[in-house]
Amino acid sequence: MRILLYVITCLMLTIPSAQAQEKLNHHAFKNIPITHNGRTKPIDSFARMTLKQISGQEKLKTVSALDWLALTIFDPRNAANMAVFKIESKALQTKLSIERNEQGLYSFSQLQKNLNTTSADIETLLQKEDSTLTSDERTLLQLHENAATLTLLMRSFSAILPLNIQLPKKYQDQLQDRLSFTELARIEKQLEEDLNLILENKGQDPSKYTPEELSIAQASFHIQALRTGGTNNNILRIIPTNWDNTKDKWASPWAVLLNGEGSPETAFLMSQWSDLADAYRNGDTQTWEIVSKEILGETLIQNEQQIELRRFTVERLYQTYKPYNWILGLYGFALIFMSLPLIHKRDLSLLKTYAPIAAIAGISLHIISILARTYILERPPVGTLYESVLFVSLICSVMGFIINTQRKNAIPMAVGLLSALSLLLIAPAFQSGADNLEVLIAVLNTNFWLTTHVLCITAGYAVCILAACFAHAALYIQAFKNDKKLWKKIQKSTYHTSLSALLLTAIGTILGGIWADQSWGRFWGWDPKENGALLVVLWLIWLQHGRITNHLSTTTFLSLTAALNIIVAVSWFGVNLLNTGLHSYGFTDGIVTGLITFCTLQFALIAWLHISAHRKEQKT
Amino acid sequence: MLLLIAGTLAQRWMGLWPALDMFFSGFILWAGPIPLPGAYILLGTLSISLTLKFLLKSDWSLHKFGINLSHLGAIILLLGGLITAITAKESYMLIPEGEETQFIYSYTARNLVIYEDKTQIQSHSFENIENWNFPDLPFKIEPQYWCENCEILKRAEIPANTPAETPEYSENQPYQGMAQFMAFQSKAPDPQPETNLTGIQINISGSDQDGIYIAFDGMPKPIELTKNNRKFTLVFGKEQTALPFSIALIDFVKDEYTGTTMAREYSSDIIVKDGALEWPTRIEMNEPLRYKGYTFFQSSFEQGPGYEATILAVVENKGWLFPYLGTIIISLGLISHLLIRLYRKRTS
Amino acid sequence: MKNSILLNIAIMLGIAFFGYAVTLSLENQKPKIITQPDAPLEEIAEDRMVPSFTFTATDGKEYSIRDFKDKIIILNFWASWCPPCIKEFPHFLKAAKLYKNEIVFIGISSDLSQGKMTGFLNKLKTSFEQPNIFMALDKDQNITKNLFQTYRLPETIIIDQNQNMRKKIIGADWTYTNLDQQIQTLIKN
Repeated sequence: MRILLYVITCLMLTIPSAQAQEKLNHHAFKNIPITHNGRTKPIDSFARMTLKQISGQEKLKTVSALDWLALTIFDPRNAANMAVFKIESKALQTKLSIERNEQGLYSFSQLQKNLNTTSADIETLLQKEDSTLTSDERTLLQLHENAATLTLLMRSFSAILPLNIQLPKKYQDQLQDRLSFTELARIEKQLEEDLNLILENKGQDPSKYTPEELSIAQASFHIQALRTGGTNNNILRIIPTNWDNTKDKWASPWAVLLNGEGSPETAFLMSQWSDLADAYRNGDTQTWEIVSKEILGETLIQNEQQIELRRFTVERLYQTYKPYNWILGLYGFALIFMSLPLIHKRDLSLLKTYAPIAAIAGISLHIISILARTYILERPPVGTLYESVLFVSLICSVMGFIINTQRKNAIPMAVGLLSALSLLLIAPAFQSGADNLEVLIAVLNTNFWLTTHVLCITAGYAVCILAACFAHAALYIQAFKNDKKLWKKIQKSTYHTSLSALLLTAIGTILGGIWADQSWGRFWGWDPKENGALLVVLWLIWLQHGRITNHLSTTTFLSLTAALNIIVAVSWFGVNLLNTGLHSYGFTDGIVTGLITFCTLQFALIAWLHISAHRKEQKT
Repeated sequence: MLLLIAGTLAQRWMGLWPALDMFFSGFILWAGPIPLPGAYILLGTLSISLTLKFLLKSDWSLHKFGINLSHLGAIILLLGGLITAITAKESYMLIPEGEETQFIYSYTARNLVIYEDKTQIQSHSFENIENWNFPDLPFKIEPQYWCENCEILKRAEIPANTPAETPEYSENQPYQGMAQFMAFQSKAPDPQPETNLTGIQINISGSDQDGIYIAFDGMPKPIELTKNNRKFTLVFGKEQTALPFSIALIDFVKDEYTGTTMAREYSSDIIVKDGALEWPTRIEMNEPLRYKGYTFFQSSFEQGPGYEATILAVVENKGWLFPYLGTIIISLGLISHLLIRLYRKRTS
Repeated sequence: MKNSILLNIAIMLGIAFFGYAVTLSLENQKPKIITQPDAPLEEIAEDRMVPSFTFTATDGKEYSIRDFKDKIIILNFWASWCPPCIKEFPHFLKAAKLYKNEIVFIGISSDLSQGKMTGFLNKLKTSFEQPNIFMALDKDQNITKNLFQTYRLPETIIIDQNQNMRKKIIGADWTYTNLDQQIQTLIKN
């Protein structure tokens, strides 16, 4: 934890700004490009994701993520007192000797001392395998990681922020009034020579030094400390690099200085950032607005990748308005509107007109948000598990809607919405981190066969789920209602959707084989993912053949189709557990329990429905 | 389907290759003492019944055309699978930057190759080590001890009752070469067969340098023997095959996402040298090189200080076209079935 | 019934033939040939003009970088207390001699005083007294740190005849052949 020591030193050097912050205009600031996690994004996204990673929320009580970021990078001394670290576990709170507060958020200064004492534990914890750690140990590790991230952020501008150092008299005229590392570095060599002289003459004991000699020693020490503190500080990649020496097109301020990426352009841009920092610290809203606009313009001109501001706007809108929540709400309302008339038996025909409106609105928003993701990430939106859940959910609601119009019956729509809603609700569990806009590893990189395969098979899974839900409905009607016409309708829907499901999953599985053949020369490798898909296909084939040959009675056919929900859940999510098992901690436990619970409940439900329906069938 | 589930779960706990071998490549699957039909039997039954049904019991009327076509496609797919299982060979090729090679290596097979002067005269597979015999050699080679995955110990530390040390083997033979310092002890095979260190201990008699020798994967110095002024070299390691052409690696490129260590793209810039013909090309992830029946995929790489090498997976599969053909036919079949049904609905 | 069987067989034969044709065409696919790009200097999308600045050389005269338009400029940041900087000097001197009409070498020193710089240069056995070599002191680090943001020595910037910065060499880890190639490409242009 030497890092923490350096942080303390560097923080001591920076001057805290005393001004209360007036509201600054972030109109231009929020769009400034930064490269993070392999992707160039607006700094607003970066602020949100980083804050979410540390505190679990995208906004603190009175302070937006962007305001928090500005405070952290421009005024680290005060930022250290901001409560951002989320610690819920009581055991951990005691271990770190912090006083509980109701928000569950604690500041860096509160944690500083005790993070130091637990650093030895961290060493041992890092040696152990993920799956053997307790939840508290994982939180401690994560906490240290977050503290390290915050430290890097606080130090990202330490090269240009004003320092609190008493200059030796002989240099006071040489340097400008505003003393930053970049200024101080101009006399670095001179200070080094002076210090060597002092060490020769008076040795290493500072008590023997004159005040002038002391200030020389301190200045020299501070330069070293700042330099060391800036090494490997690559978190704030906001400066475009102009030489073709590295493949990285973006560097952090310290990386520019320490890795030789400096150029007249970076010098200019850094001086602008310096002005911006000053404007922030002085609460100068006018200068802030002007300079942030200039920085945005300058950065866009300098970078070769031709970032489109439009893409950034879409990303910011996506992050700010969270279409996900709206879609959930709309689907929920549609379902409520559709089910209320059934329960209350009053003439609620008004609600009946609202239901389709809510449904259509939800579906449109769903489509728009997936299109937005495609535009933001510049790739088809089916690369991660989270994205596949979003997509399957959409297909469910869309297909439900289409079948609804065909059959002029509300049940398909209800089924579609219900499955879509349930899938959306579990989707966040599959995010591997705070940010769900991720880049993909090499082998998954955009490829025609991969895209068509994933789209086809996820659509197939969606239709399977629909078929399974229709089967549930059909069984229920058969067992408890006497409506022969309705039953016939739903049963037909079940049959047709299961056929489409077969078509889609079969083609999807084969496309997967073709992709595998193109990628690593093996059409079929008995890989868990492949086996899962094959399982679904075989199940469907068995059902179809069983029905045609009358080997399976209608009731059995329906129950087995209903069981598709279990099969799909296992094939889609279960296999990922086998593969990813050991990397994403915390995530696996929840999924396993969820999966087992779901399968058990489903099985029980289907069994009960089957027995009831079978009994009814026997009576007639 | 049950086989699928069991086999999939097994992969997680047993490692890929042993599970594949046990569940998906055999005729009989032993669940303890109970024989269950293995993958080959199941697939075989499936294929045969499908083919018979197709040929004998298909309803050839036009409106079932789609279904028949799909079944044909499925048969072709299964046929392709059979051909692949029998003929496909998967190996790998490792090329350091700036070098070229014509050899491909097997992932699992090891063999002992005997050269006279520089010509290869005999090759014996490790799998068959219990039946090794060496006709036409002026000296005797007797395998004494072998392990699929060996732990290397100091000769001095080897416990007295290991098989290699039993008196009838030693016969007061001196230890030669590396056998003087090193000995093997068997340990559990690694789930990844290419990381196993396979080794053998052999007794040589009748040559000019008799004694007990050891040989293993990647041993720096091969065993050299002479007899009657003839020079022999014994090399043990991964089974290698020489291709009729060679490949030189000019540059291996690993593109990472800015600021991360996550790979965005791997590619190898190579030159294929086939006799008088030389031409440059690039192998990238998802874009293999197909040449003379071999397909080269960008598989992995090695990196060290001042050293970079690409690892290409090499597949030779005569049945590679069948899945594509089968797929097209199945798709056409399913689509035409759908169209025919819709058409009939409209007209009825 | 007979007709439909025949039809079935006909179509399936057709498909088999199609498959065979596809196989043949795929087997004989010409692999794609890629030629390696060979330029040592990367193409830059926009021109980057070197900012104007002045310096006082060892001959006492003040020069501006703009004075050297139409020549290839090798702008080198060095200091006498930087051993790698000294290691690379012979390469520059050789290039300056070889291309005396085409290139100009400007060495900006971060030494602590004029005296220290000239004292060092005089002691060095190699001669800097060539008409196309200019050595200057950057006492307050205005040029090195403020203008070019060079915080590590040595760094060398190659500037073309139109005063555009084309390439930066960080550190002393390069060979004379590299430098020569760059210069030649620029001359040919």
